Order: sequence, then structure tokens, then C-alpha cells
Amino acid sequence: MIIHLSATAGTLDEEISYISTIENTILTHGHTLALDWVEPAHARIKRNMVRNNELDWLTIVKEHTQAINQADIVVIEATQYSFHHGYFVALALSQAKPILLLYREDARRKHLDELFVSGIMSDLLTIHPYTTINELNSVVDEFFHNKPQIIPHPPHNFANHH
Amino acid sequence: MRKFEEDLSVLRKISDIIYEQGHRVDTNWFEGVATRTRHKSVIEESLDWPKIVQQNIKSIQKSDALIIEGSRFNYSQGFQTAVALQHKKPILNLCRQDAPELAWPDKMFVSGVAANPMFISKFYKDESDLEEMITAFLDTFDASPENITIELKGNTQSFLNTQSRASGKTKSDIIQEIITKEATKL
Repeated sequence: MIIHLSATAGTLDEEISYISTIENTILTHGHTLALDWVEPAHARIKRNMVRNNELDWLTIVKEHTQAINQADIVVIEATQYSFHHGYFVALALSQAKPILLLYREDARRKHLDELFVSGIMSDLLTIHPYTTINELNSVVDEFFHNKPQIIPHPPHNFANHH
Repeated sequence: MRKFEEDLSVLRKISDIIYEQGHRVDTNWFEGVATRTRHKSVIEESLDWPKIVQQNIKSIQKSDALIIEGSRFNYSQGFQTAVALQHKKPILNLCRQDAPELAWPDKMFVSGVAANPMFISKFYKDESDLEEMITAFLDTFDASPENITIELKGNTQSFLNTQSRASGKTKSDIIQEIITKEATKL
């Protein structure tokens, strides 16, 4: 299957071990990535090669949107609960793509966006907290071991949602 | 809704401008949140979030346009943006110029979404900038009916007459349907 992995580029350097774990587990299951962006983006950040505001964001958004169109499943590391995570979840749901949304659980008061996510009622959306890399590996491994059913769904227009 | 107290005056200003321009806000959610926050009457975790999300979606579907105060670049705003675009609703995303640098990835991401002509992103310095931005947006996408005169000739006239007879629809409705079909391809 083709999988699109989304995460927060802004914190990629801090989060790379988590993102790589997800990516490796996906590949171990024999799936392919719709867009191989993590390593190039991390290398760019490490080498401070290009300033982020100098990147071609029209192309980046287009590539990620096309990756979702192309993917069978979307995996999102959403600990930062950013604008683009919400955008991609709604976009993937509108195309009836199964989504695995992962976030690191900590002792903070529940994030308001975390509460908003909990209100999205769709069989296509699997939300899973994790605390450690080992736990993250198990969660992703189990998700792909159980292979989400890729059943043709009509486009999700949210009208009959809930 | 992060740092809601700081944003409340901007939200009220946006709402005032919308009403001054002869439109209305479908869901005045922020006054409810303001009351709840002031009285510390309800903890957020105890709210019915599926109902809130559903109301959000329904409100977008009912509305002619979506205006987002997006300086916090949060998840729910990204979600609502994609839902609104799916329903071909125009969006005005307003962001303070001094939004924290921490927000750069989403600030850049939003600039990439702006390739969609239905999504307009504007940066404002202070509340005094809002009126011009909101008025221009509402004028651009105002759905008030406009009467135009079309001179029908030859094939066009014959086509419309046939279609109108066959469907029982007015010629005006048929032309409107054809244009809407083309517009939704954009």
C-alpha cells in the first residue's frame, strides 16, 4: 500500500527519532511512502541550507496534497497539533482515506486541539497517544499488522458525519 | 482559541465589521466561550466535543464564507479550512503580522494553501487594518443576486428553448446551472 506520512517540519530536528520510527515501521511492513520528504527536510534543517521562508511553499503544499490523493492510508504525527495537521485530516477524510493520528501524551492539561480531534467521529480516523519510541513502534506496528480495510467509500462530505 | 482572552477583542471587532457590512455571523461561539471562561463555569474536557465539531461543520456548510482569525495557526482552523474548501466556500484567513516565529511552519503552509483562489490570507498590523480587509473580501464573494442582460442568438437561443421546454426550468435557471458547474471546476 501507499502511505503518506505527515509531521511538523518546524520541530523535525527534535522529533526526528519519533518520525523515523514511524517511517521505518511503515517500510518494514512492505509499504511505500507517497512522498519521501522527511530525510531531505531533516538534512536541510541540519545543514541550515535554505531558510524556511525561502522554500517554495506553493509546491510543498501541492506535493503533500497530491501525496494524500495518491495514498491508501495517511499517518500523521500530530503532537504539535498544527494547522496543517487539521487540514490534512479533513482532506483525507473527504477522500475516505483511513488515518492514523499519533500524538505524544504528557502531563500537560489536555490541549484544546486534542479535545477538538476527539470530537471528529469517523470510523476512518484512529487516534493513538504514545509516550515512548518503543510504544510508538508497537502502535504503528499493530495498526499495519491489522491492515486497515481499504474499502471504496463515497467521498466524505461531512454532511452525514456523526 | 489558545490565549482566548487576548484574541477576544479582535474577534468582536471582526464580528462588528461583518454586521456593519449587512451580513451576519452564523455562530457567535466566542461570546459563549468568553462567558464560560470568565465564570470558570465549565471545564473544557467536560464539553460535548463531537457535538461541537458537528456544529462547526454544519455552520460552515450553511455559511456563504468563512473568516478565520488564524494568528495561532491551530489544528481546528486547518480542519475547518479544508472542510470549507471542500464545500467551495471562500475563506479569509487573518493573521497578525507579529505572530510568533514559532508559528513559521504553518505560516508558510498557509501561504501555500493560498494557491487556491477561494483561500485568501492577509496579515494585519492592528485592528484598524481589519475593516478594509474584511470589506474587500465580503464584496468579492458577496452572493447577492446580480441582474445581467444576455442577447441570445442562433444556436444558443434554440438550445435554451429546447432545454427549457424539456426540463420545465426557466432559461435563467439553466444558464445559472451551467455557470455553477463551470465555477465549481475551478
